[in-house]
Amino acid sequence: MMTNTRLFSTNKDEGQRHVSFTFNGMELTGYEGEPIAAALLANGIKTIRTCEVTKEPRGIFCGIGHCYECRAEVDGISNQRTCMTPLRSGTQVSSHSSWQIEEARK
Amino acid sequence: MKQKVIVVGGGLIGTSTAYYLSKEGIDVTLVESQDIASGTSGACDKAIMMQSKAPGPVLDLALKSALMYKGLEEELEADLEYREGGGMILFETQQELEAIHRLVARQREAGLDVQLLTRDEARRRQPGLADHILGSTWWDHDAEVNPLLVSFAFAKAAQRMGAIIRLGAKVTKLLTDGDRIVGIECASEKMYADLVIVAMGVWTPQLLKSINLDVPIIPRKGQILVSERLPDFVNCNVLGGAYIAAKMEKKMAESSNPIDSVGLSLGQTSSGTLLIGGSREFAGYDFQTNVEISRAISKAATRVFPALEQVRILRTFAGLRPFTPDGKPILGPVEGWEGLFLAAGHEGDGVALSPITGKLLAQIVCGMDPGIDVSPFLLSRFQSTVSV
Repeated sequence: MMTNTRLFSTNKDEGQRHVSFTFNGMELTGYEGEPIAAALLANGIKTIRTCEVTKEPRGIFCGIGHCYECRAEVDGISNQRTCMTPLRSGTQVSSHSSWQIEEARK
Repeated sequence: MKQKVIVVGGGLIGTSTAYYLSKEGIDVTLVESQDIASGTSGACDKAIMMQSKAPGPVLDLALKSALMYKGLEEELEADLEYREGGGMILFETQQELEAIHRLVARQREAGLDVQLLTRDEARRRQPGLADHILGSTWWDHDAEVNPLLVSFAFAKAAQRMGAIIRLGAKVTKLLTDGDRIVGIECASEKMYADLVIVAMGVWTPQLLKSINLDVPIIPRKGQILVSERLPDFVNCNVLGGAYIAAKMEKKMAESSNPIDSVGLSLGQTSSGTLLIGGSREFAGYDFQTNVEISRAISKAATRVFPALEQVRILRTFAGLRPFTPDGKPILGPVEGWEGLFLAAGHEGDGVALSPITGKLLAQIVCGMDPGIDVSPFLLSRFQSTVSV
């Protein structure tokens, strides 16, 4: 299921930097600066979250920031559009929000 | 022959009235200028809160309505997102604490067994409260409902019983014959009936101007924020003490700065978003939202729930609440005009009072004894100095 779908490029070392990131705790790699959704897809991940109502899988639909289907928690900020958010080294992506009413209390 | 009634207005009040009339076998036509719940009923929050009502005729009415809500999903065969999760009013200052203690004493006299919770008890009941909260009230039977679903469910149930629903039809005139209302004019069409019930909320005075009748309903704008979806953490209605202290002591009407009028009301919808209100502002028929007010509401919310600082707002909307000078709705027949009834002016109590208002109107129209004294709600209470 998790096959690498990244196309081989003949000139692949043209300055694009490989970085590692995590998705639901899983260590993955991608290119720095590419949309997180693209990096996930390149790692064979199409299901970014599940719908709260129907429990159906959700992932890239429009890919241009309109539909909000590909949202995920990115570095602790929930409901980020992964198609619009660039990948950085060490980015932590999670299908679920970690927000809790008590945890953030001081 | 069946009695024929026209209900003008397709909000919580109009649809409820159409339903209970249809249930009594009346021939009902509901006429609405836009769509079901497209005005105030689609721009409000969802509380059926008894604690926020002043003891007296309105609370008596609301308690009857709250009982009706318990069986309404079954009766209307619809999911209304009804939940009896209770409600709390928070005190942030000693002054609020005192004002609310006075209110609770009156409520207990009126038979509402509201409890007072200490800081720790309030915290156990509702996680995430800020440390400065001094305590709260608690009542088990405050409830909530989705007002859009209620309006549509009433309209559909009325339709199933034969009511005719005309949407996108703006009523421009009441048709008269001497001192009798005989129908309405809608675009260029005339529709005749034995009775006309005007349930147009804040727009009621505009129609009644056509017969030179003054109705003291004033639009009062309330703005509400919608948050992103969050895990369940609020099961009840949460009100800030400032809001209720001001409502009870009538200080808000005098403040000219709408920012000062912001008082917290917070609840979570079944989809997980928070509805966070609200402001109270006399601004005519304008329902534009205002960034300063959004900021003031956000501040009030994060002061009470500090963890909300991490939460984003998806959108904000404003609705016009039909304010009346004495805080009571205007219900029942209109003196001097045979065939004309009003059901409007519920301000922020329309959600709570929707079922009982419809039922009350239907009972009056059918000549039944509603078991409720209607006199505090008649339009004539505002006309006492006018000789008829």
